[in-house]
Amino acid sequence: MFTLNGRVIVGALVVLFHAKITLAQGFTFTGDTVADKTNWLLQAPPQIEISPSCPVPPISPKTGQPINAEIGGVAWPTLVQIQKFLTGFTERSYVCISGGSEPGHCPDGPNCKADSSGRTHANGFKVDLQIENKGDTFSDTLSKFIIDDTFPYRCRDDNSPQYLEDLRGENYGLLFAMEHPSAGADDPCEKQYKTGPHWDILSSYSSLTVTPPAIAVDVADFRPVFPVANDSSGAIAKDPGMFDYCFPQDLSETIATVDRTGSLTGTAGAVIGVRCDAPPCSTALLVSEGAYYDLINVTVNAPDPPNDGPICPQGATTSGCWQWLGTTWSWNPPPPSTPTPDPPALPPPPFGVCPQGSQPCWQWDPTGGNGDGGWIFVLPEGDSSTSTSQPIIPAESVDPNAISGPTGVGAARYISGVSPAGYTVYFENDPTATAAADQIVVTDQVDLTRFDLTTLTLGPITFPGSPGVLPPSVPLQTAGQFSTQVSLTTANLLVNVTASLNSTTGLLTWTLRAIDPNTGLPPEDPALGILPPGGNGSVSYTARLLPSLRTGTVINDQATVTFDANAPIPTAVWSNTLDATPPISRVNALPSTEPAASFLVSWSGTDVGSGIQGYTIYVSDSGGPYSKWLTQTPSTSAKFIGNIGHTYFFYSAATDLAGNTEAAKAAPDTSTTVTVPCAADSSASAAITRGGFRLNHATGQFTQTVTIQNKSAAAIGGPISLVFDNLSSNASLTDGTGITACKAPLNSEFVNLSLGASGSLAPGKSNTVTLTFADPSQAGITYSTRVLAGAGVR
Amino acid sequence: MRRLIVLTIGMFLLAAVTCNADTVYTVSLDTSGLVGNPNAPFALDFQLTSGDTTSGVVNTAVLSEFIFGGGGGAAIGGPFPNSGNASGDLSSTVTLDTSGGSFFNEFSQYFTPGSTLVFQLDLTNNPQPSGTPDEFTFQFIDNTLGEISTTDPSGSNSLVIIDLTGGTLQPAIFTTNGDDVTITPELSSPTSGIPEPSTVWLVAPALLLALRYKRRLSRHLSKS
Repeated sequence: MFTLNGRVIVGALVVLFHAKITLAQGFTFTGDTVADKTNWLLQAPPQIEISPSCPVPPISPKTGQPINAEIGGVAWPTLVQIQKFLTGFTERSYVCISGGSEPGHCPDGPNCKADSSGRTHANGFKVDLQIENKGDTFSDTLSKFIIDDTFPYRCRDDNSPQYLEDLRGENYGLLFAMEHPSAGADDPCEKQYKTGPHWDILSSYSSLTVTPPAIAVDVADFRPVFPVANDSSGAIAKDPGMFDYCFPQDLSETIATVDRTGSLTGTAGAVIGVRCDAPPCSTALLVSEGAYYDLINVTVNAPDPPNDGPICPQGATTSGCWQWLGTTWSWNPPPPSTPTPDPPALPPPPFGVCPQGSQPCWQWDPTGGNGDGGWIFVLPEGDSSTSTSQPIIPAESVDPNAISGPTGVGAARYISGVSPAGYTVYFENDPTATAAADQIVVTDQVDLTRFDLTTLTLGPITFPGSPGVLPPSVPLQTAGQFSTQVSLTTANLLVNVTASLNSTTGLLTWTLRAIDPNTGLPPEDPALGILPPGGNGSVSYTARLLPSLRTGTVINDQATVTFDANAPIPTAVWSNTLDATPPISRVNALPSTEPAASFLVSWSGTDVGSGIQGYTIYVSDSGGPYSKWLTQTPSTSAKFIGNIGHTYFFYSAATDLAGNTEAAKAAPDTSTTVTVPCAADSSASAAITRGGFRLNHATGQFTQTVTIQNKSAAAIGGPISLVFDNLSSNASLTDGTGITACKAPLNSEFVNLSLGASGSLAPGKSNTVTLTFADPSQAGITYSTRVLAGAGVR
Repeated sequence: MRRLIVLTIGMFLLAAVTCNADTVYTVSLDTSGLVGNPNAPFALDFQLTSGDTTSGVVNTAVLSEFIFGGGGGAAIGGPFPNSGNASGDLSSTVTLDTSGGSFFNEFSQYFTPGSTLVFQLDLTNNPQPSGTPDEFTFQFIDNTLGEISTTDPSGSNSLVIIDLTGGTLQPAIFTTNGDDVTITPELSSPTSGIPEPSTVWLVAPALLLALRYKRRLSRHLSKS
């Protein structure tokens, strides 16, 4: 049955499979059992092969499928144990064998124990690697006797496939050779496990290689396990079809953790799974193997990534992190970084990049510009055009000189005047020019009748070769004259920048003068200067409008640009119109009462200037605090749904396109009370026939049928309600429609009849309802009836 | 004196006659579908409810002469304790009544079904003035401790419902549609039963008085 030709037959894995371990070429037995085993272990990559002569695998009584899969859960943990065992039992605790001899063995002796059936069994086993034809009979020091009274003993009565499955379930993780410690050589216990017919079980295992000398199994060799994470804490629950295992022996040891995706992580080579025959093992990890439910499970961690960098979350393929592919690490590079371009250069950004402490400013929108990104010009808060989702292309004009101001609303560029008005003057040296501009003077005659000069604040000053000049964000009158000097990055030049405001005339002047640092004079080379041909720059400022201005006031601004000794060139006039008046609106009058809970509310309004943008409608329920019913709606009517008996107060507040909002009102525009009439009493038109009571044991409730017949000559319009007045206190209607709240007597339960499509009860027709009463005391049930019909409250 | 005796006899008889005579049905059911049914054990459940516990009107249901058609017959005990005025045994007679203002009167007892089930149902029929009649119902209980479902549209799963309105009794009969059995009770044409016990004491004095009066009259005639 066994051959020695370079192989050691491990008839050991008797419970799990019939296997053989192939030795490396050139291995020579010395006859020293200990040495042979040790050398074999050290020199030969242990390899398990499945004997092709194994019979058809048995059918699992639990899954109904052949027991032929999931080698990962079986083989290499066993290999781990074999190797550890053979290398000196440094971790003996992992070789955890429970179970016992066959029934009837070990009739007496110090190591015999009785099971729950009174049968006695051996107390422990000897575990070894048996080398065929070498006469090893568990006598060498590498044979280990396993005895642990903490493990229960179980009895098995036959060698059926179920028996084999049961063995796995009972922690026979490693049973490759055993010896009854106190029995003689002919002890049937020993033979049973050496040569029993259940040695050859699983036939379809493929080979599985474990690379020595490290016992830690490579991740690639590990088959996934599927623990069950069953609650929010991530605790693992035992799969219903899963058996417990006894690895490791230390039940309190935490070997691995599981995340919510069900992925296990732990120490390389660790064996997971604990027996759970008794507390406190319930706190330990229990691992199921998924489709094949009762095998040992082992997992290892992926090794550390080869380099620094974050590790991708499990199950995610995020970028910029190391991802474990099962056998190797893979670096997922971050997406190519797209450097944010500078704000638009032509014309230059007048107000800097957000956030800068105040608006307006430029803000980079990575989704703008059709996905390429773009600069968004953010206007001051309160301006009706505070921001735009579309990138602004400031350089739409190539006019050498230009001015821009508040965008405003409509053709008149209405502005509310709440926020400072900002202006930018753009200038350019014509590309056809033959010399650079050494001196640039920009003047802006600020309209004293429109602007409050005490609020005038300079904005950024830009020109080529400089990141720009940002004057202090304080009013120029407060700061006095602004001056600074900057070095150009494009030429060996200095630029003296000054700005001043004549508070008497309102003339705002910027002067930019190029200086040769070597001479302190303007550069002699005509090609050198602040603005080469085609170069451009800008100056900017903000100022508040005078509060005394009235709606309709036109605000103009114009600047002049002078290059060197050239004649001043005026810009176009930037014009806005002031809309400082909020709109006026009101909720239209409602009737004092509304006959239905749902009623229409309408409103209207007017605005001088930019026009109404929307209405906010406020409502108060019966004098309570006002709340917003509708917010900034452009509609002028909507249905309101109230409650019967409640009084509702309404007022509106409109907002115009310039951003002016109507103030909250102290008194409502209108009010109304929802008053719905009571339903009519049609009892006189109905004949009511009651059935008796009977108890339904399935529901524990009493049932009664009641028939309502229309005895009048006219149809009774629905809905029709059968009211139960003075219902005895020991009983209650369990399927009532409601309780009377309008037509006295009040607080009586009622049920609505099912009238079908007609919605009414024709003359002479009957309608039967089945009533159920809760009557726990089983005392008599009494009531009187009414019939309420038609619309209205019951 | 003679007139007084005749008047007395007449009053007793009149009083006895004004009490409605009982109505007796023979109820028959094919219970073969219950034999070996996995929803066993089964019980018979009889209910008699009062439509008005304050009126003083009393009705009585007497069930007797049970035949189980080869089945094991009545078993000991029932799924529910008897409620109200309910007593007896399926092996003899079961009596329910609404006396004393008893609202809910129920008798239940397990039985081993045979091929048929036959019993006598003897009902009084006294109307309640308030409009809600007293009601007799009969249903099967299975191992769920609930009624075997029937075609009863009210959902109470009764096999027989009889409202005691004082008029002609109109039993409502339904068919089981649960537990994989189809059982439809058959009720014989109603017959008048023996005077109910409450009227016997009215008739008996009248007969005794009449007998004494007859003897006295014949003695008087023989003397004369």
